[in-house]
Amino acid sequence: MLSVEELRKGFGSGRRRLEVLKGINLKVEKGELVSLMGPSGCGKSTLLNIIGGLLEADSGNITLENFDYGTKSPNKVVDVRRNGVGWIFQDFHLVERLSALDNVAFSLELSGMSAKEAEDRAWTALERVGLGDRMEFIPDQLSGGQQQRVAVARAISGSRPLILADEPTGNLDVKSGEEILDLFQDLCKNDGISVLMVTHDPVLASRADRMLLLKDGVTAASDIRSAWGIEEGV
Amino acid sequence: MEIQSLFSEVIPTMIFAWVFLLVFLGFMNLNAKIRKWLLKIAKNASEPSLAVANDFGSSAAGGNRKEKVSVGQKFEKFYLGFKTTWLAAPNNISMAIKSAWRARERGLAIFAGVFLSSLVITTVLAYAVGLNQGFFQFSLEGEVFDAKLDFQKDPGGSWDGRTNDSVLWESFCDDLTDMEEFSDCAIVYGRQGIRISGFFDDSFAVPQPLNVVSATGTSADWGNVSWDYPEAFENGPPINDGRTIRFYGSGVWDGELADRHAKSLIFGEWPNSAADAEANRSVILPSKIASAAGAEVNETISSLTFSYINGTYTFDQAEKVFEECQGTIDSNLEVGRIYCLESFTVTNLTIVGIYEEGDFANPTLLFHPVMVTDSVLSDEQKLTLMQKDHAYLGLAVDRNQLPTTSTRDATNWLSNLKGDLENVNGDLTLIDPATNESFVVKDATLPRFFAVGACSDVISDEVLRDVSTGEVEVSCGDEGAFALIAVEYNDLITGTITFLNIFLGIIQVFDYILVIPIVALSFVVLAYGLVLSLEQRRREVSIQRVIGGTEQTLGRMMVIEVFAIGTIAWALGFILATASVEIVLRAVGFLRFTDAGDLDVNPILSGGSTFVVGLLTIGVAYWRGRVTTQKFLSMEIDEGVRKVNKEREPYYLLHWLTFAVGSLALLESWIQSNGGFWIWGSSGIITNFIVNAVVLLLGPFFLWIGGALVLSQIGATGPQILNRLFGWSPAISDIRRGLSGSGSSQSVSRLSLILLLTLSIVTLAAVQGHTGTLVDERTTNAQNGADLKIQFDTALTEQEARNRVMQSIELINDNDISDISSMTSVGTIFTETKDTGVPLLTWVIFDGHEDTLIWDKQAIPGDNIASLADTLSSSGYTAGNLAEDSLDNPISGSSITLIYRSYELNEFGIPIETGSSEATVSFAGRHQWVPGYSAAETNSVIVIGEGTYRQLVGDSTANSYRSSTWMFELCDQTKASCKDALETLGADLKSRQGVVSASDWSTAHEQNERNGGLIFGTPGLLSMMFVVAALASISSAFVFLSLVLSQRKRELAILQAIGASPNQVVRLVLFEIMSILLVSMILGVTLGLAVAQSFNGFFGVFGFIFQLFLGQSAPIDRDLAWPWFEIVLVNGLVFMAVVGSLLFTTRRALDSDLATVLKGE
Repeated sequence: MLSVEELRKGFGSGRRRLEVLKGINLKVEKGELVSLMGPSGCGKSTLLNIIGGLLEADSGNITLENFDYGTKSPNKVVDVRRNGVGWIFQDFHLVERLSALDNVAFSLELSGMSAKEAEDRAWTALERVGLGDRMEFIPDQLSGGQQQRVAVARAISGSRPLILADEPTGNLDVKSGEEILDLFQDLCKNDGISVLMVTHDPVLASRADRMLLLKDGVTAASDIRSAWGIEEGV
Repeated sequence: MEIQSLFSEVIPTMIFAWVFLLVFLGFMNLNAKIRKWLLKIAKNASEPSLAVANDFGSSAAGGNRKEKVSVGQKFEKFYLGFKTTWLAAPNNISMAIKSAWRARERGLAIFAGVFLSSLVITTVLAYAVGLNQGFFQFSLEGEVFDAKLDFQKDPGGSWDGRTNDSVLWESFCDDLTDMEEFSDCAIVYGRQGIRISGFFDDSFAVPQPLNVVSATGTSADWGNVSWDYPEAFENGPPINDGRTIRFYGSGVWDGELADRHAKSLIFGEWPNSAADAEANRSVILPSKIASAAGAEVNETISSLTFSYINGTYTFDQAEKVFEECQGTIDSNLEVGRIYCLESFTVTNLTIVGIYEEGDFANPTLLFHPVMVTDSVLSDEQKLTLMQKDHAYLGLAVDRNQLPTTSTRDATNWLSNLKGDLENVNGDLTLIDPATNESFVVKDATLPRFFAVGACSDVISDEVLRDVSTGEVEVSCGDEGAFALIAVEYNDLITGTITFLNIFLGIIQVFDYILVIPIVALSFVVLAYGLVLSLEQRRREVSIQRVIGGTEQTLGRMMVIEVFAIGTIAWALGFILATASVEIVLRAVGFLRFTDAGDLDVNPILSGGSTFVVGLLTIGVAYWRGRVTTQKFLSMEIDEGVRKVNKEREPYYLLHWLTFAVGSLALLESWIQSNGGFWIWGSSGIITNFIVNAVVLLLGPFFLWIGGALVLSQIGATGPQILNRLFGWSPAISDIRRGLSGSGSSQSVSRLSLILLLTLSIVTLAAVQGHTGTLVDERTTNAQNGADLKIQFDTALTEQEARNRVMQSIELINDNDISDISSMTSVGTIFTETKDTGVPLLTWVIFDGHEDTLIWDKQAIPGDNIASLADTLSSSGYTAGNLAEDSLDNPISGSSITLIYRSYELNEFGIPIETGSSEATVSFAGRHQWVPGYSAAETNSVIVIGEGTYRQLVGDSTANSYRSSTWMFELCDQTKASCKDALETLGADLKSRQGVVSASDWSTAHEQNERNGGLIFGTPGLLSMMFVVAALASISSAFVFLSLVLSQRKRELAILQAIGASPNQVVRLVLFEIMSILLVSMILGVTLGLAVAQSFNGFFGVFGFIFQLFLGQSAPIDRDLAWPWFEIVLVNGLVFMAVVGSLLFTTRRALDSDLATVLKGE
């Protein structure tokens, strides 16, 4: 479903140039929950941003369902953000002045859906994430976990095949974090949505189907032991 | 306003004031600390034993030992503190400026607020200073001399202090001009010395001038000229009723005195130096004399004989006069004196100039003399005139030295000057004649002596004082003339100034009230800018606290930033205001100004005022900044980090209450001006006089503030309104939901509030400014009646009047007036009603009057002047309100029959009726006034047309109609070139024999612009308000919008992340802001119009007071004028500024790195 080939990205120029991604290759299948881990500053968020169409790579290619991009500028990949990828951020990033329902419906309307349909879908999505009774609340009136669930609803309401989650539980307490993970697993198993998740938390990471380690600008390893550099058999 | 004084006076004062402000603020800060410290010292000092005992006690009890801090440690602590605060200051300041530069919009917001308030407050204060100066200049314009300096004692006493040497007396002028109070001085042979004070002393009128007796010349008809001048008697105390003459010394022909004299010349030129005057044997004639003789410039007067006073006698000395007097005897009954006059003759004078006789001002030096150079007098003549007390020194005071802070300060200054010149204090030793003992009078007021001539350099002031106390006598051994003199200073300005005092007070009150909205606005902008800029830092501050930044350093940084930006803004606003106040004062209409030369003011604020401006701007910004900073610092950390500001609910009830009061006042003032509405009569809803007055005076402000607060709520719902109206359209349908959520944020409703406040002031200023201009024009139309209104001294036929005026037209030879377009007059007859015998003063308006008379809609019944003309021609009549009463309030259309009786005088001189005729007229309505005549005059008359007139008096009388007052239509008085022509024509006619007065539209209009209704730069204040409010609206829209939008950067990035295209983002921002802008604009203009209407009553009251003071006769209704052009212009500019800042900021937001923005600032 998602295929990344030889993705490269560097920042700065001349002597100050820093190559962050030096040839990333990865695949995500439909319905997979994949966690992406690595040391601080290794470029996890950068990789996610490129896949999510918020940043352009220097070279390489990304294929997501029918979308083909990677080196295109963010303004040219609006469709990817609309119909390909749903975002979940550590800071939730909801629109402060809109209610939960409006937050979700608005994102659908921006993609061109009619108001009626958008509202129906929003309603459904919010029910799905368990916020049926809080639809009229604005973000300030919701707890962290609830806000993140609104974000999830927003991400899934558009029938997008892939969800990108950047430290989704970073601002949440343990219990709320676990609930979010439960939700992810549910979505992957029952709705066929793929989730690519960046996290520091090994506990969270261990609940994923697969783990990727990003080290020295390339991806490596598929299981947690290797991901932490622990040799097989020890 | 000279650039030089800007640098030499204004900037040093600013620097001093700023440093003082710094010290002041620092002191306030230290105040608390010092107080604590002092308290501690006091405690220690008063109870040292207790401290010792404590030590003892604690050591004995083995309790806590107080650490004894050594002096060295104390010093170290102090030094550390000193280092962090003061030595690090430059570094802190530069860091503050750098951080401000990085977040430019934030700094710009603070800058805008402080700059605006500094500009406005400085303008208001400097305006008051300039107003005083301008007023003095304007009212003293007519005076050529500011003081008459005479000898302190009458001639012929045993007492010293006089000299008969005219050269010595004249030389004293040099000493006087050396003093900084005087700018020019000259010897004048003219009126005798005045040694009493005030006009009201009977003996004020005793000293007499030199009078012209006769003149001869070849080219003009001097024999026909009458040298009587009865007008002099009528326009002042009864001093002298003949034409006076003055001989001027060299000081008059150059410098300030020459400038002053030259202003009123209409023909010829003022001599440019004493040598020039002497060479030509120059004489300058008053215009009436010149026209009576038919004399022109460059002609010669072969001989001129004038009289002087040889002796003055009281009535009981009458016999003595007849014995002694060799010359002419004349008496003045009013002052009870008999004068013996002798005469001198001077010959071969050349007329170098003719001046226009202006108003009759201060009578001390009498009026409109013939002026001749004193070089034509022989030495013997000068000696005689000196002996007979006919020589004084005419002084020009340096008017820039006059204190302008208040008229009382000015009059005090003048009386101090007088005291200085006349008196000196010293101990006087006297001998009691009874006991022959000497006693000392301490600190007596003694006459002051000056030394003139030879030896005067070496005689010191101390010696002169001893002369006053009688201790020494002085003589001069040198060759050459020498004298000790004592002088009497007769001031000519104080009377004028005292009158001004009251007048000025009223104007200042009026003007200060007028500027309240703009001052309030500037403080609002200041507060708004501060709040916006500091709020941005709230999160930053809390986060920095988390990582360990001390509250002190953070607070200091923020405050220094405010102070640094504030200083720059204050300085710029201050300088700009000081430089442009002069322009404000020169305003004669809304955004119309006279030429630069007309007014010469130097409105430099004192150090104290400069400090006050700094305190009110930088000081307030600093204080608010500190308070807000401390609030942030004391907040809970998590509260600070929260993204949504938990806002205090605005006091909605208060807003609505204010609005309600304001609306009530508006309604009240409208009802009153409308003469009643529905159930309320013309006194309005509120009948209690005091409550009514308070409501009307405060109403406009309440309406403005309350209206802005309430209406900004509506303005902030602009997006919702847009959704409702256009939500279906494809441009909006996909972003609808995003739009509907906006507006609830406080910063957006604040933006709407600022727009409302500024645009309403713009509208208010433009409306009232234009209305004022219009009122001036209409007032002139009502007073003057036509382009030219002339009153002759006899009744003339139309042809005769035409001929006279055509003469002048040909003489002035101006392209703009080549012929009389039309002329008319208003006739007067007496009639009575047939049935009831009510006598009626009847005025006649001739056919075609509407071509000449400038009618005003307010003056006539109905709205249409052409139909009034028709009505009058077809047997209609109008009546003034008193005439209406006497006719028992006729209904429109009802008829009365008028009877006119003609009379002749029989051989005994008794009038006998020779016939009568009738005419029937129908009532057309009430007239308020007839152009050219006052409302008071026309109240009790009825007006009929020419047709009716002919019916009543017959054609032969009508055709031989004569009148002494005629009105003329000559050119289009709204054009500048026509105005100039009218002025010249009027001046020429005025100077002609047989013309009592000639008033042209242009001169009358100028006077009204200056005096009528709104005085002296009040139109300038309105212009200032307009310009400042317009700038404020454009700049606040730009600055605050940029600030608000940059706070939105993250939201815009989020929207893009969830699928908004750049186009959608742009549309979202655009429609949200545009809708708020448009709604706020419309509401702002509406509010402005409502406040303008509400202000009308306020303007009307003051206008009425001014008119009372200056005696205008036809109070014009303030019908508001709607200045569409200015309003559209300003709103258009605001719109463009907003669009510009929108496009700019949104583009920046779109271009920026989405990923970075989403990660955090």
